[in-house]
Amino acid sequence: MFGEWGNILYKIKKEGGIEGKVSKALLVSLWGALSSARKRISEIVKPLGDQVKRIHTDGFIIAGKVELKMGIEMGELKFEKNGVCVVKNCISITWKPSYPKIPNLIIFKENVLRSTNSLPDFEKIQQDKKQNTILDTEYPASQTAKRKLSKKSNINIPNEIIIEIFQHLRTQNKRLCGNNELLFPVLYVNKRWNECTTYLIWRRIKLYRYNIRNFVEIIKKKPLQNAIKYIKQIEFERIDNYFNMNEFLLEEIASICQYIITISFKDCGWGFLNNSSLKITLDTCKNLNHIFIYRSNRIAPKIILSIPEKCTSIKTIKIQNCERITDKIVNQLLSKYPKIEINKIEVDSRNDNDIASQIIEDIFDED
Amino acid sequence: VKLTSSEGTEFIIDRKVAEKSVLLKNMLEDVGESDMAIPLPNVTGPILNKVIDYCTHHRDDPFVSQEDDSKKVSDDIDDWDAEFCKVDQGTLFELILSANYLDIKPLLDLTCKTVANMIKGKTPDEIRKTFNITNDFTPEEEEHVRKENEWCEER
Repeated sequence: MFGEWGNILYKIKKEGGIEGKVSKALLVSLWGALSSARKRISEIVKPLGDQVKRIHTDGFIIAGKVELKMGIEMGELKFEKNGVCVVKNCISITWKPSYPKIPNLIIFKENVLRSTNSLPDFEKIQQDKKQNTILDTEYPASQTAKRKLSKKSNINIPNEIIIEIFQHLRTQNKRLCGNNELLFPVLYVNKRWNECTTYLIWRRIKLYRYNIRNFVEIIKKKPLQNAIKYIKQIEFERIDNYFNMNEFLLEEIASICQYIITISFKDCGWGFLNNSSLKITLDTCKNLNHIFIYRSNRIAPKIILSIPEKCTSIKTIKIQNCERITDKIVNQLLSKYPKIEINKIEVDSRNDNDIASQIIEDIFDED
Repeated sequence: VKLTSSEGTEFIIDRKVAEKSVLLKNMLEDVGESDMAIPLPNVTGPILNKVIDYCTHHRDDPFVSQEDDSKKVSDDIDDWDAEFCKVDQGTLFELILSANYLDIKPLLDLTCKTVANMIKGKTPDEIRKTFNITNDFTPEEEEHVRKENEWCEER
């Protein structure tokens, strides 16, 4: 953003002289004031370009009408539609909510606060800022200063940071027993934490024999629109042919979770994972980017060869230890679709699980 | 490199220290060395002071790539870092915000881990007490949450 300004200033700076110095100074302040915004925020505002007038740690001001994606992945932005944006210079830009007659539509966004304070959000921020400044001058630079939990710190933490924190609970716990145990208490803390946790838990789902039926029942029964929307990755592990109980479960899951990006099957029996259920999955989940199959002796070459046609956005295919999928098949795929990452790694069964989960891990880290 | 906090306090630090922050690093690459102070309007003096402490201590650490540090568990905080994080919650959260703003991934990880450790092993009630949060769930809603997640809760 403001890239053009930057380029022009940079050119002038290179020419040197007094102009050069001035533009250097301008570049510095421009950086400090604008492009230095939060990492995540800067990702959000990148496509908006010059419409972005000011960036705070917890929100930003944009001029004009824009289309913005909403939802938890965007840090839960809130619209504040009426107001006026006062631009004095590039560092001093303020937003005032109280001029209803200005026709120019200004939107002020910031993260939804947890407080019940009735002040408009903008004023609240200003107030918090004042509060903080007072606190800071009272206890200068002292590391051990016993500041009372300031209001700001309690209410202004954006969702993506909360998610970042919870992510650590998840990472650690993955090592211990591979479920979300440490996250469950967090679900009940309050609505906002619940939402962040739900996002984390549902984003990446691991299903085993003992929970798959419950899972299917839950997603079938209730209008869980939000949670289902979060599902990006499903891992199936050791879903066997237990009394034919698991037949058609995959079909049902695929029809409900159509937007998943990654799917993996590890040691799944033919009652659950077979050519027909895989075909239906491929036909329904058009957004699939990654597919992994470990140890399935029923899956036929034909269906594997059809993956790129059915799911046009596929990026990775990994087939391991599947009897009927020979190197020849894999090479056939490779030569036809050189852009897709296809490999078949033969490993001895000792490390198999480690490597399998490692691959899934890597993929998860990428997005 | 000179930095100015939100109240206008100036800090002079080594370029190497400043480059711990991806934000400042990119900026310095674009603008080049300058005797102009870089304004950081979102960071207060005491917080900036702490951030600089951290960056100075870790100035020689290799740059960790994303994949590497996702494997770390939240226990492995070394003594210096643990001591560094012994601050009140307000400071801690401000450190998180600043680390995010300045894009200092290891500091963000460290502070988030510290908070995660504060949450770990607590009941919802204890968590609320720790962070001074009010429960905005009605019993019915709480029941709903329970139903929604029981498929993965039990083993």
